[in-house]
Amino acid sequence: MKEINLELNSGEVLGYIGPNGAGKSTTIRLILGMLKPTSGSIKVFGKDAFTDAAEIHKRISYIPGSVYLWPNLTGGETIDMLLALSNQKHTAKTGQLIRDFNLDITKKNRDYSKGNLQKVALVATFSTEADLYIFDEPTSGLDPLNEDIFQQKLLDLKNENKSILLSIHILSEVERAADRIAVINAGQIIQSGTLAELQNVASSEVEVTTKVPADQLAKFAGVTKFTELNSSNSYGFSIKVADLEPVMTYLTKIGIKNLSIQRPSLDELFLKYYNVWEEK
Amino acid sequence: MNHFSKTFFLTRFYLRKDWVTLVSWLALILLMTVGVAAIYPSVYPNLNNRIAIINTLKLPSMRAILGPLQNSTTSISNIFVSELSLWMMLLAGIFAIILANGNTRKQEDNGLLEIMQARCVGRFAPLLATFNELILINGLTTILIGSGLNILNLTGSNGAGNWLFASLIGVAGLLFGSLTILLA
Repeated sequence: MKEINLELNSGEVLGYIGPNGAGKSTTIRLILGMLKPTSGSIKVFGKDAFTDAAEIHKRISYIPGSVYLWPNLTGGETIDMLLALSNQKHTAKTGQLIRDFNLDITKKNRDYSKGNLQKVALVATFSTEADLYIFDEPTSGLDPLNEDIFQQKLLDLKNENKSILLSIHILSEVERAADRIAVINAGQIIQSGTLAELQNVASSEVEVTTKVPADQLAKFAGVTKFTELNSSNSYGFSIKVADLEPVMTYLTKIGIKNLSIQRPSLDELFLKYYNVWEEK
Repeated sequence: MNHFSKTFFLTRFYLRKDWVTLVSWLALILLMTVGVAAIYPSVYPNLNNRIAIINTLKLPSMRAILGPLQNSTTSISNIFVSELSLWMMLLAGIFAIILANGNTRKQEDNGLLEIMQARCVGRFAPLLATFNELILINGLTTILIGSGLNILNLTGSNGAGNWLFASLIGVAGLLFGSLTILLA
């Protein structure tokens, strides 16, 4: 891993995205002080992540990517056990979470399906009072319904002004909650910023129908993938937001009948950054 | 908060988590030692039987398996100790290795250690808790075997000898378990 620069302020959600094996979990283990960095420093709450690990962990709640829990304990026992390891107790909030996730806590961990086991871990993670929540691939194995509940709980935490590090490879899930996004590939942060900032770098898809033929359109700087569509005076092209203004001025002048601008989704950004990175 | 925090909590937790294994283990080793000791007088009922087995134990091949016979008295307790100490130490060792491995190496491999250590658990606490568990279970083994043998009071046995045999098994378990922790 090299050139990892991450900063997370309180009350902020950082989406940490990257393909499998990019170094997401390794970063998290470094933050949790389970691995020692060979160079550089990691400060969590102003303390060194490795030497002050125990002190820092009082204020952290973490869920790992692949959850395995003691097979002969029930879900409820596991939640209480994990809370106790953080010097905390089963509270009303825990009960509420169990109901919200619709979790049967009387079953043993070995009898849970992957999704239900994930729910056990999620309930424990959410009900732990902490300042920093770290989720590593939290929604793997969850059905859409529970995923929705997860997103809701995530926003609740955000409203309580908690910091959240959300490491994930499913981008649509980051889009909803994240304030800032960092893209990592092969152990290197290749881009970071707000979603809007990232979108400005990538191109938006524009489809426009004009009143008169727009023969100058293809000549504008920044217009790529220019195509004439089937219906008359209809054009499709992609353009970066920064280059949009002169094009729009031109289009307004000749008269717009119909216009749609599709902002790039995270998935497109994601692919774009990987391609850019691989070309280097 | 330090590197050892939650050690005792984890020790208690491990004991509760492993209680079925621990209890069955205790039952098994008690059956194999105190139980066998209880039926030995009927296995070797008279002097001729006992002389025969002592002579067998003196054979080079038996020496190779069980080690040299410490003395030639034909008491039941002498035969018992000569025949059983090695096997029981091995048994205790195997059990300790399984137990220690399950709470160290295995927990690390399947990610449980990560979940625990992300919470307020000291870096060395899980390891030390496993060690505590080993001390407790082997201590209990020693006490139970020792008391059992003292109650049976085989001919030729005495308190010191009984406790020595029991400690031998307990310490063997502890030794193998500790080695596992060291290597895990």
